[in-house]
Amino acid sequence: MSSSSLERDFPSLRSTQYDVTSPEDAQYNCIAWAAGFNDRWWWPSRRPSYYWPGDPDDQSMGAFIAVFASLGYAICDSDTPEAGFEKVAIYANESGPTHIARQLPTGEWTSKCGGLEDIAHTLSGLEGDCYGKVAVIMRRKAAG
Amino acid sequence: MPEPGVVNVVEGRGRHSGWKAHQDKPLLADHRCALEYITYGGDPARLRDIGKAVWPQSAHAAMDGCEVAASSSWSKMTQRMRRLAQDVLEQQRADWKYEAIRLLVQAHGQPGVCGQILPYWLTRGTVEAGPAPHDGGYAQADRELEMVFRDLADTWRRETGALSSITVKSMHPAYQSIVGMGPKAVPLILRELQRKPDHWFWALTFITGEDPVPREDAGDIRKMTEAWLELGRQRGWV
Repeated sequence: MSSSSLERDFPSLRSTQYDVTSPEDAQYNCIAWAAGFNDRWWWPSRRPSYYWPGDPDDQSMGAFIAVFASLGYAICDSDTPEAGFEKVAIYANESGPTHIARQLPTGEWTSKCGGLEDIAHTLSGLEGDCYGKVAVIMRRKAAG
Repeated sequence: MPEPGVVNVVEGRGRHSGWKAHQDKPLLADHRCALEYITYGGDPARLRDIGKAVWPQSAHAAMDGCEVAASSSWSKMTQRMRRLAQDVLEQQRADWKYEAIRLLVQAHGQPGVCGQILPYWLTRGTVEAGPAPHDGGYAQADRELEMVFRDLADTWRRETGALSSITVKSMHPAYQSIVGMGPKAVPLILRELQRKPDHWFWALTFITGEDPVPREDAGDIRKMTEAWLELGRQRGWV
């Protein structure tokens, strides 16, 4: 299943493999989804307050890395799937972090695109004007 | 001799003009809400009352570049504003703010009309003027405001739906134009929130100065929506 609104925002999806895996839902976003949650919108913001397990005034790459470090992730070099590890990819543009995707056991990546749908995709499929490029890969040992 | 309200606007001495304070700031600044004008019929006290109603002091102080200006010729102003807006859009005129103020002062002379033009035209075109109160036209003005709101809301949702950043979402020009509507936008935002929960919390917090969401519900969009709708019911906004 494809989405015209997603392909408008992410033209690279048209030339890469992707699947829409959920309906639109404004309840949660990519950061929450990458962290394994779908009940809140995660973003550093003091007023109004959003959920953020870190400094609500810091939207830097360092702050995003620190939040995922607190979830057990560490920076690694490769986006190649590794047995026994879960990985996340942090996208950024010149303004800072924009998006996080989480790797599935199949090697594909799963993303919640803002308030739009969840998709399974390639990392390059979401690169472009909207999210910028993948800037950091992090991994942690898979549970169980 | 010019009306006191107009002098205030031009020379920046009025409590609500804000002109002097902002005249050195970059034009077309982030908020893009650089001009709102109010016609008042030449009564400075009336201007102050309207200014308070449209821009509560806290919001006005924080809204960088927002101006409250005065004049009292609605039709002349809107005609000239429409032309100016077109120039701004077509030529990216950097001097639009100064020209707008000049036109407002020139157009002064027909007492008894009251209305406002929104910063909408900075990015989208010109908002039609609302009718004067003595025309009994507030309902029509409200309908026009709602149409503008809906257009801006659709644009904002279409252009930021894929984004996670609350900062980028709330700084979008269409969203900021809605914020620039001031308290009149609150019932419209709450109705929209009721219809389709979305990130209207920044606008509501900015305009009203309130944040009814308990800390434990931060980020829970459904509960944040419920908290704002409940506050709206208590305040009579919905």
